[in-house]
Amino acid sequence: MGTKTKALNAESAQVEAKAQIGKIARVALPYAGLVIAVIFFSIATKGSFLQLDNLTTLINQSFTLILAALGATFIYAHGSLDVSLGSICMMSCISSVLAAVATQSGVVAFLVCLGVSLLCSLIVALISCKLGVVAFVSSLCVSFICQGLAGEMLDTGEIVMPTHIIEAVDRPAVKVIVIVAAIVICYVLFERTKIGVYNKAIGGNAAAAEQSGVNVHKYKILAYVISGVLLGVSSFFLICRISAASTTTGSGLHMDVMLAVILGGMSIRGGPKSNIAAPVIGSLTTYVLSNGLTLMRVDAYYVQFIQGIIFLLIIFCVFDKKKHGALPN
Amino acid sequence: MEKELLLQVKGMNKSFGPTRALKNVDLSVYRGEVRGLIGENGSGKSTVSSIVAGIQNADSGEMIFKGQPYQPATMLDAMQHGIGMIVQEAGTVLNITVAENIFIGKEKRFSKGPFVNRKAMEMAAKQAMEALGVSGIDPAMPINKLNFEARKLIEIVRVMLDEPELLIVDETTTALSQHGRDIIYSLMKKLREEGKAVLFISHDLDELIETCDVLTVLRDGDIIRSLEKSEMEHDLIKELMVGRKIEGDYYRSDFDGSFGEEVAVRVENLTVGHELENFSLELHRGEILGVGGLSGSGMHELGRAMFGVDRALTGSVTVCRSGDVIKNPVMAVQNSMGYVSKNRDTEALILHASIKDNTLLPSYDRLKVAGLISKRKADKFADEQIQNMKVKCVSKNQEVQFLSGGNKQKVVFAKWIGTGADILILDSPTRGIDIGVKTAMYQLITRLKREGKAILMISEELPELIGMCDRIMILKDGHLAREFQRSPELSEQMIIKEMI
Repeated sequence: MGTKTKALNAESAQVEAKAQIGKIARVALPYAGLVIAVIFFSIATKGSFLQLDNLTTLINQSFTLILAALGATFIYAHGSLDVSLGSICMMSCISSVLAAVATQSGVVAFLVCLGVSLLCSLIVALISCKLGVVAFVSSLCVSFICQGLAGEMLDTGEIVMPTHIIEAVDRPAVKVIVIVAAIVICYVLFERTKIGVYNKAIGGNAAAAEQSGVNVHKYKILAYVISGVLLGVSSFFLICRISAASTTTGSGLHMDVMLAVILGGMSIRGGPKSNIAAPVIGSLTTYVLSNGLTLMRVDAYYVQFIQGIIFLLIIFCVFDKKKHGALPN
Repeated sequence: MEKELLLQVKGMNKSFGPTRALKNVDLSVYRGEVRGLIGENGSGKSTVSSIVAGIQNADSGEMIFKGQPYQPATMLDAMQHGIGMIVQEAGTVLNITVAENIFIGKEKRFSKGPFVNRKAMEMAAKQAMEALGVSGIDPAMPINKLNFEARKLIEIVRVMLDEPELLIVDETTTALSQHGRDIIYSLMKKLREEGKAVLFISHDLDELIETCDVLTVLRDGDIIRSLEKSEMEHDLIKELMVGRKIEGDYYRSDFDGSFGEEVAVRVENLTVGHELENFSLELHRGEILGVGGLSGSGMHELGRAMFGVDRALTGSVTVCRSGDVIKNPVMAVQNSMGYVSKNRDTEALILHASIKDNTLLPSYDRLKVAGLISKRKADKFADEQIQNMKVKCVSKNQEVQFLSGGNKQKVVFAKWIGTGADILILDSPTRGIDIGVKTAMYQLITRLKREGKAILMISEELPELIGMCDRIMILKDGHLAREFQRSPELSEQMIIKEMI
């Protein structure tokens, strides 16, 4: 009997160890993917991938996505699916340029960009929380409203940001500082304040969170506030890089953000396993892939094709398809 | 008399993730036998029976049924071999009639071309019901109109239609009245006399001792012992289930029904939906106030409304020390209230989150250093609560979903005790919890009373209310039916009379 129990214990310890290794592998995979991609492209492009001006391009390319995805992670954490990011970004960019043209002030342009983004995000949040409409629908509606308004605001096809503002803002050094600061602040907010832990709890089980004394609506709205601020900042830098705003600015951003977060190994259903590394790793992976493949002179269509395949692979490896997949059903 | 082997299970193993639900289980069931299975939650009794019934597959091991190797792919496959099962949960299909439920999958018997002859089907359904002593149910009635018990009986009629040689009854009787139980008991007796067999799973010791020929005790996926009729005895069975001697004092030992003077919470003229009308109570510090009744009596709604989960239509819940009227759970928690929901998995816990995260949830404000949550403090807090409640776990970072029912409930308690709640609303606090943890819970609740905490204990289990409470309020149809004081004379019969 004694030896039998011992054998069984050893066996169950083995099963447990296996489960543990699987878990670690899944968590580590997105990091490993990024590292492998960087090493691969460094060798394949004979070092030109790692050259300073390419790294600068990489930062320029991924900046908008990293910031927007960092903010969206707070919303995903509590389980909302937001599709308005692209349209809000467009609305903010157009408003910002209009304000800049009118006042010639970079500060005003920035504040308008931030304000519009924050306001739109809050409208999405208030509609879903106070009127009980799911975030997907409320964000879709706000996104349509933004598209409509933006068309009305633009007489011509596009408007251009004054150059002196662009020159002041569009610098790699500034962007690096902003990114690093945003990551640190988001990490602290996500892991060390009630905003982060409560949003994760709400995503895990809203009823349990509420019955533990969490003010569910308040913390959901706070998540939208954070997302709105980060989206505003990222939109301002975006418009200063591309200089001209039109109704197609930022289109598809919500999808890119979603994909980046999933690529980073986080389920956009949110919950307790949400983490702030996912949007960063995922955004970087997205652009390392497209940048590296372009450097290797791979045709743009093939770049998308390869991205699609890699994306599927990651989802297949990282997420437990039976229990809880990356996407809401 | 020579016993003829009907079903033999050899070396059956089954794991769920790291948990080994069955460890090399051997089981033999003979013809003409009612075999009882008993064990704590997670002991493996339901796993064995569901594998036999084709609901899931074993990882390894073999089964022999009627002398042939047997490996059912589905429940239907098992049924065709002659093994039928009545499950714990509702197994009827909604929105169709009683007769359609009984003959589901067998409509061909009554079909004429593309049409089904309803009249004939309903007649046959009536006969099938009467054969089992089920009366008073119109076969043409939609199943939705029936209560749980009637639906359960319909399910039994359906299973019996296939004339199983081995019938598995999995905790079905728990939800049934005496009438429903009697139908099942007489059915079991009939099967035994016909040389068939029954595998009967139940938590109710008296019921098992009364009906079973052999009782097999499981613990942690092992078969501990099979008892013959003459050996079946309460204390022995409990001891085998838990693996150690159970102390005599299960509930509180004293009959001193006194409590503090100070009113902790005052409920006045509370009306919630149609479930609870104009209800008032005073809960004192140092008191365990029991609330009992049938499940539709409004007692669960009372708990929810007191904690602010459900909106009250009229009336108020006032926490006396602060004078606050509770409107939502946020206010309740601010007023040191805690609520243990009867729906543990869906409302009280975040299953995918760790034990630590669940325990900390209401307590983050006290774990801050310079405005930020301190990791060190959080870890220490979680460790303390796990130790205090003796939660059996691998580590504080283990996901709650992998814990047993009893340990999950300990985590819920740890959450509230950790945050220092002194008004506790416990709705069905020992539901689905095994004896070992139950005992610990009762000791804990008694200790909390001594510490001067105010406890409202809502429960459908009368022995628990009688054993633990200073006062018991029995609800019926949303009103107070009667109030009982703690006393050694108090019996279940006295209370049941008020409930129905």
